[in-house]
Amino acid sequence: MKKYIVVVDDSEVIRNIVDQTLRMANYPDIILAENGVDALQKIKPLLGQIALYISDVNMPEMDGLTLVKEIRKLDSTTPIIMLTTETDKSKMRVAKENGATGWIIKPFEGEKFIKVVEMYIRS
Amino acid sequence: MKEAQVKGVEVIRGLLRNVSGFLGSYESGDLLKLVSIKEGIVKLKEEFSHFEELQKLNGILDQLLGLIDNVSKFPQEEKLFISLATEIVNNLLVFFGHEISGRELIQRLNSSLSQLKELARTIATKKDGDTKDLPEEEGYPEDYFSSLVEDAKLLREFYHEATEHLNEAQFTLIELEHDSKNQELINNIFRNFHTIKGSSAFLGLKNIEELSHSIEDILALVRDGKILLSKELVDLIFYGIDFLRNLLDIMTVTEFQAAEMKKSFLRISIHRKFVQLMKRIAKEYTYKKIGEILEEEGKLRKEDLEYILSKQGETEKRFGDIAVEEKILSSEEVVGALQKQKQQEAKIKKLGFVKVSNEKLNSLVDIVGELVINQSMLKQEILSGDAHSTISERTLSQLEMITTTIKNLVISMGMLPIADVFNKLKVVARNTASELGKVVVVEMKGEETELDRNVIETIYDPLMHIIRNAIDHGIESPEERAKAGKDKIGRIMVSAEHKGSGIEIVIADDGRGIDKEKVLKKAIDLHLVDREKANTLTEKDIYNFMFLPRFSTSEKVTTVSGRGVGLDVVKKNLEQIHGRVEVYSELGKYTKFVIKIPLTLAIIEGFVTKVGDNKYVFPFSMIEEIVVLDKSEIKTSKDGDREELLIYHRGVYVPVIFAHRIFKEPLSQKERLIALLFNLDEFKYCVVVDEALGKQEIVIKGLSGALSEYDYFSGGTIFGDGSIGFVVDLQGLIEHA
Repeated sequence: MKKYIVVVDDSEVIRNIVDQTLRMANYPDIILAENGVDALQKIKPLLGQIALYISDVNMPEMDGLTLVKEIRKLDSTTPIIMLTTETDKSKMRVAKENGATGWIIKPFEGEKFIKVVEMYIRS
Repeated sequence: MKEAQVKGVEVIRGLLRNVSGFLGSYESGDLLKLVSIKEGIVKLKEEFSHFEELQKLNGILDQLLGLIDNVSKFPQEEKLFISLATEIVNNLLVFFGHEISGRELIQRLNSSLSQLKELARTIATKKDGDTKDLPEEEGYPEDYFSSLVEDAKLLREFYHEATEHLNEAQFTLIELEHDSKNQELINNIFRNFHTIKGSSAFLGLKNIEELSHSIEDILALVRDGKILLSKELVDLIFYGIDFLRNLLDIMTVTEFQAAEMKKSFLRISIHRKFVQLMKRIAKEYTYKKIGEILEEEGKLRKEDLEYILSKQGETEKRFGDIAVEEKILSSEEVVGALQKQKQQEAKIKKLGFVKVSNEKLNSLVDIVGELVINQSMLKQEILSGDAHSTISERTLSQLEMITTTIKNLVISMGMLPIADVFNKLKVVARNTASELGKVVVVEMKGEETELDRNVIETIYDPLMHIIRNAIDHGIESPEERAKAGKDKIGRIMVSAEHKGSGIEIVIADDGRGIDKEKVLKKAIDLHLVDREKANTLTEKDIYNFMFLPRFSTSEKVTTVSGRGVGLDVVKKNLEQIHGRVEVYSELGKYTKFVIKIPLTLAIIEGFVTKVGDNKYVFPFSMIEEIVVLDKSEIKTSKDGDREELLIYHRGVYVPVIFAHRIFKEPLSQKERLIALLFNLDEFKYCVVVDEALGKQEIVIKGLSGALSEYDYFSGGTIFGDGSIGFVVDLQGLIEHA
């Protein structure tokens, strides 16, 4: 069954906020990763069981835009949501071209965030 | 209706308006907005449940809610979904505004509902497949290139011509990036693609024709102000140019042999997607008239459209007004269409400019100059006559105000921001640096500073020379910079700002600076100065050598600069617009060129004085103070064999210049003197005149003949009473003191 939510962000604070928000909304199966490289390593053994990817855009090692491309090579259907502070729409357009489903601009309200998640997974 | 119901309808209308707003500004991928749309619809459903008769509308809302979660993965379908949702919400708005009956609403919604169901089916089939909604690679039919000419010579000629056009287009596009509304540039680049399209069609190069045609179409829309040349669109055109280059490359690779070329062309069809994209942009992003919008939405029949348009021709009424008067459309429909048009308009930002020929503008400036003169003539006449009354004085001051306003307006019409020039300089810097293998960052400040258009035309060349010099001679190679402990990237700062009555443009680089010894040695070698006298020269004197013809310190002649033309041209060009240039430098650290030019060539605020029998006008903005001195206050100081007159004023010694000496007027015999205190380049000067006549607007006329040789005059002027005066150039005056 698809149950895991993969959360990729280089900021520990944001990772924990997202983690807690998801847990409070009753999504307990969360995989946390620090950057693209870390994420890909953790994703590979879980392919087929992932329900949603949530990723930051600017990260060291491998950024979110590249990560989206890499994920799409392995998994072409699962939604990918980008977390971004970018007001730069062109970057988001690239993300979409690379295969991202959409974006959420940080900071966000937990309630709205969960509503977005709910569009893609039913708990 | 019951009160509660009325209130409910208000809530519903508010919700509908919110949702309509979200839909209008939704951008694919903006998930938070998508959630807001969803929430809005959920709330609507809740409100509808309070009214029995509205519950049948829930079906369509459920359909919307069912789709919204899935649709964001499929861009094509998403677009359709958003437009259907918009239509539904707008129809509901119209209904709750009591513009249409319930039956009419159901009719309209039914068509939307069937489209929604269709959309749901498409998505259901897609959902299992790939998320990436890309159509299959479309190849060409076998006979697509059947008309390709088999003349290698012609094809080769085309290749060269097209390459040239693409180079030109690319260059123009770089400029357009910063100056997206420049019609001349747009026309140029349009012609580039137009020519490529024409010749490729002639040769049967259908793929190249297709590609250049799609770009040409977009550019035509840009040219006609129907689409905004956004950053994204510029990027797209760059891609298009790359595609065209690829196709041209194939031509050379196949050595212009038609058969081989055909084979390769048939295999490469990736750019067809680009062509489709360009076509889509042309269709979706262009500015539409309100009638067209309504017709497309199916709210207006073609006959009605034509009828309204013909009516509009007769009455000059607005389209919407006629449509409502004739009961063809409801006012809600018109408002809806108007809103849509406004959204598009915001996207397109139509230009609000009128083109005026330079010639007309210049003659307007001249005429206004005459007006200013005549106005001051009239003033003089009235005030000196006996008959002047308070009324005539008041009318006069009114007239004065109006003239000043007109003058300022006309001057500002002739003003352009210097941004155009700066952007061109950026391109020059980029090209020059890459030519020389140097890495340079150019920073710009004050691009918005406005200048007389005549000045702008002249200023580009000198600035370009200085920038090229800065990169060629100033900025060191990356290795050299690293060795000197500098950042490998060279920096050039270009700035413009208003200073006094003029503009100061500064170009500073952080390069190796000017080697004064080298300049001096060269000056001695060229016999510009005696060896003995060389020691007495100031830094400024030495730098001034660089502005002499044929003076170049660079040992190597490069293609960029160093041929010994340049700085002398700079100086000459600047003199044309009464500008001057100063150099500051520190060896190994920086070189700074400071250029000072007057704001406009036509009218200045002058301070009129009398020296001897003639009138002399000083630029008012430069005057710090007008002082009355006693002759005895002037002290003489000796500096070697030079004698200098000074006064002690507010704690500092200020050199005194008798204007009489320079203008060759008889020296004043009076004991009490009137002097103007100036501040020029952080030095104070005190210029003694005979009489101060007052502040006045001065129309500067060029001096001709022998008079034009005096560089302490920037021009002449005619006063109200018909007398003439000379406009003093302070820098020139001080250099002669």
